[in-house]
Amino acid sequence: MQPKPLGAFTATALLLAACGNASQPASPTGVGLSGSITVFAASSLTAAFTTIGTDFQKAHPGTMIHFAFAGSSTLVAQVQQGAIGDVFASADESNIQKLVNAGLTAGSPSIFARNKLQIVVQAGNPKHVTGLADLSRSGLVVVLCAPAVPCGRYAGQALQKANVIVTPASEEADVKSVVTKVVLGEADAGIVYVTDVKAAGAQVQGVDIPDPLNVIADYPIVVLKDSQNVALAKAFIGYIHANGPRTLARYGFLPP
Amino acid sequence: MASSRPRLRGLSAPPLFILLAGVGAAFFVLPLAGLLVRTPWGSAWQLLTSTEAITALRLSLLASLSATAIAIVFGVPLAWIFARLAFPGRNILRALTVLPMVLPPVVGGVALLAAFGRRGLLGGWLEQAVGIHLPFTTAGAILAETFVAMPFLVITVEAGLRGMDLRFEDAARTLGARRWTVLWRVTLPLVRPSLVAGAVLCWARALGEFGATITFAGNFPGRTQTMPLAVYLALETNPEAAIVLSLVLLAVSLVVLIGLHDRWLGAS
Amino acid sequence: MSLEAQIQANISGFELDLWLTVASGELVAVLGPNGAGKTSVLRVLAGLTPLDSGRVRLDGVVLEDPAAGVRVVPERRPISMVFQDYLLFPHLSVLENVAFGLRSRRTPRAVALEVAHLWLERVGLQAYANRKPRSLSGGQAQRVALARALATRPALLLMDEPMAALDASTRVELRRELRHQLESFDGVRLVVTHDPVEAMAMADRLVILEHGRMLQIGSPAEVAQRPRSRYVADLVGVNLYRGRAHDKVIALNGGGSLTVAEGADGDVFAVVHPRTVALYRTRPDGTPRNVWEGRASNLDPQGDRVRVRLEGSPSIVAEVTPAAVRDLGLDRGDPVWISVKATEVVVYAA
Repeated sequence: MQPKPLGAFTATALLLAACGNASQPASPTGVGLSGSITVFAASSLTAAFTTIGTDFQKAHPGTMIHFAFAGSSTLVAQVQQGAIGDVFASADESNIQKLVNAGLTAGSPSIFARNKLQIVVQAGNPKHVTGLADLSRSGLVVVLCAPAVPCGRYAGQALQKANVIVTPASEEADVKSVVTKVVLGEADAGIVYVTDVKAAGAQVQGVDIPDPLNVIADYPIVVLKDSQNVALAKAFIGYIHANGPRTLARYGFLPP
Repeated sequence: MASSRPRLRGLSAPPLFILLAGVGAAFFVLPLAGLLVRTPWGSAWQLLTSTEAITALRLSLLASLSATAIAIVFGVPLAWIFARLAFPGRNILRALTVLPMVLPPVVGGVALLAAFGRRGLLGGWLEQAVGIHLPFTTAGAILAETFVAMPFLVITVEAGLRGMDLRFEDAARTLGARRWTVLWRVTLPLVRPSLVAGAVLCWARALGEFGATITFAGNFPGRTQTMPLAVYLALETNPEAAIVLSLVLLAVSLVVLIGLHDRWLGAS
Repeated sequence: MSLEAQIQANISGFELDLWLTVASGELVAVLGPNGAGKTSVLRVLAGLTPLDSGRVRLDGVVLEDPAAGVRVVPERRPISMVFQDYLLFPHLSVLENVAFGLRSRRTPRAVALEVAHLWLERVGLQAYANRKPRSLSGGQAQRVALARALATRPALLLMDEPMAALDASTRVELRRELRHQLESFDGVRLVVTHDPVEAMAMADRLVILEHGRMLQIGSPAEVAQRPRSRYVADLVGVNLYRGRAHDKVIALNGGGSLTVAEGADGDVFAVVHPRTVALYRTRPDGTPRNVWEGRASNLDPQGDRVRVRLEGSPSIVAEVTPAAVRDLGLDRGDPVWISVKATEVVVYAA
């Protein structure tokens, strides 16, 4: 997946939100849920949330869940610039904290899943990467997330803990791009979440980072203040907490 | 006094036209005005002179000027054969060289990876045989910019060559000038306006290139993080810096384009 | 020095077929209507357009001979050309323009500029040396173009309608100047023009070209006195007929016949000058052998004469005074009797 220009995302999100919110009115609680919501979610949640969204819509016919996936920091920037959505699921707490501080959230964020880092390499591990220390090997092309993105920050922390200095060939804007570069063969290794390695399937394989060196990322979720369908938003979050962990585990997430 | 009034050539415009033109103009003026209003003038200088900003600007200038130079060296001969030579497959070749203009830049980046990436058509051989590695390098960024910007130069120079009176070359030949002399002392000087316009358009496009660069060359400060990439990433953590950097890019491009104005419209 | 050229070329469907010889010091003018192929002749001689067959030889050196596989490219021919629009290089100064040919032939820059300066003096434009061509008047540009062409000392000078872009008064002045400049030029000169006045005034010999074919060649006087084509006849302003002569009667190709004073036989041209045509209201009685009825189809006043076009067998143009027209009460469409004396008809072999 290629990083998309900022504008296209905002436009899409606005359009979806406008369409969704204009077409059906918010329903009062207890009468049955209807209408649609837009969920901003970190790109590492792409596969899992799409499945959960489908399940939710089956369980509650007449509802529509729209997703906008991107790097958490990108999404935060968009919301700060005025993008309209209902739910925000981030890959780390500090990004969602920015929204809380700006008064853009309703209620407090709750943790619904956890994730941890893993080294991603090409299937078959042709460069024989065994751990973080190998990443500083000369001649190895390593790609990381940009420090502004949660995944990049965590990777930096992990490398620091392991006392390894890595000069990446590129700092990608989101975690999917890191995986893509490895899949394409342009990079030999990258640091992403375990869920991303799982999502990429047979094209890649993961090299574990031992827990003492690893960083556990808490994934919080919150309702956005400007939501036009608070009932549905809260219902979705409730669903995530209740039925989410089973599905999320399938994709490699850790329970909250 | 009369010289300050707008001068009209031809029919006077219907009011609807003026209105539509006004809206059209607003399209372009408003974003720039918005940017100027949102600029944090207080901290602007600081942000501008930060290492990241200066590094990105320097890299952008280096890459865009290099890309333009490469485009001139290879693009002018290409424009010449399109304008003067008829050969089988010319139309297809010409369409291919214009393609990057209509292709989404990211697609261009993917195509470049397919050609010059480690597993690419040429890239694998380049790495093994000559030790040249293009993705994630400054050279790769230059290549990406050249790919998207060169068509502008080729098209402009080709138009200039087509529009030129060929009899000047005849005159030069009857005076005893050999091929290179004709080219160097007559043809190229006669199409100089197109050459300059094409080079500037090419440079401006290269300067603003994002999609192909980030896909093919990646993003790393000092090596491949050109201004547009820096703005994109800064937007997430430091929107004020993003605005200031954007303003710099806009200002540079605007100055050049305004300076070029008369050449576009020909001698008026 | 001389030029011998046999030219057969097909230029985008236009057939060119003629031959020329020009001796040095001689100025030959190729005269013809627009579209006759005049410029193509020059382009072929310059080497800009290839021959299909034939041969071009200058001073005994073969410049082009397709059958023998010889073709000297334009830049290597000792030929210079003055183009219709002069084609002075707009981005170079007047001086650099004149020096261009020399510099292209590897003359050192300083020397070339000096020679160019001398040439500019010769055409009286040394003050314009550093100006750009666009600041020159038509006449000045023509002089610079001539200087530029002569500076390389060509063996053959080609001029394509050199006066065409100038107004009448400049033309007269420049014609004189051109003749003056060419006096000291010892090469071969070939001028192409559609202006008969120019051709008659400048040329030692005329080549009449029409539809790519050569119709006539000779001195201006010969050509004028004995036109061999409608084109020349119209230029000179005479009535031209073609027909079969038997003794003293010519059966005209267009219908009708003419009785002539000298006996002739075979295919002939006959020329009747409009001045010698007399017009009557009624059939005249008298000595003229050629009397026939016609109808006035057009009256064209030209100063102190009127040219009357008459349809008949044959048709003819007469030149009479306005008074005569009044006296006859002549109007368009009126029937008229025409008479021409046999002694006034000039006859020569076709």
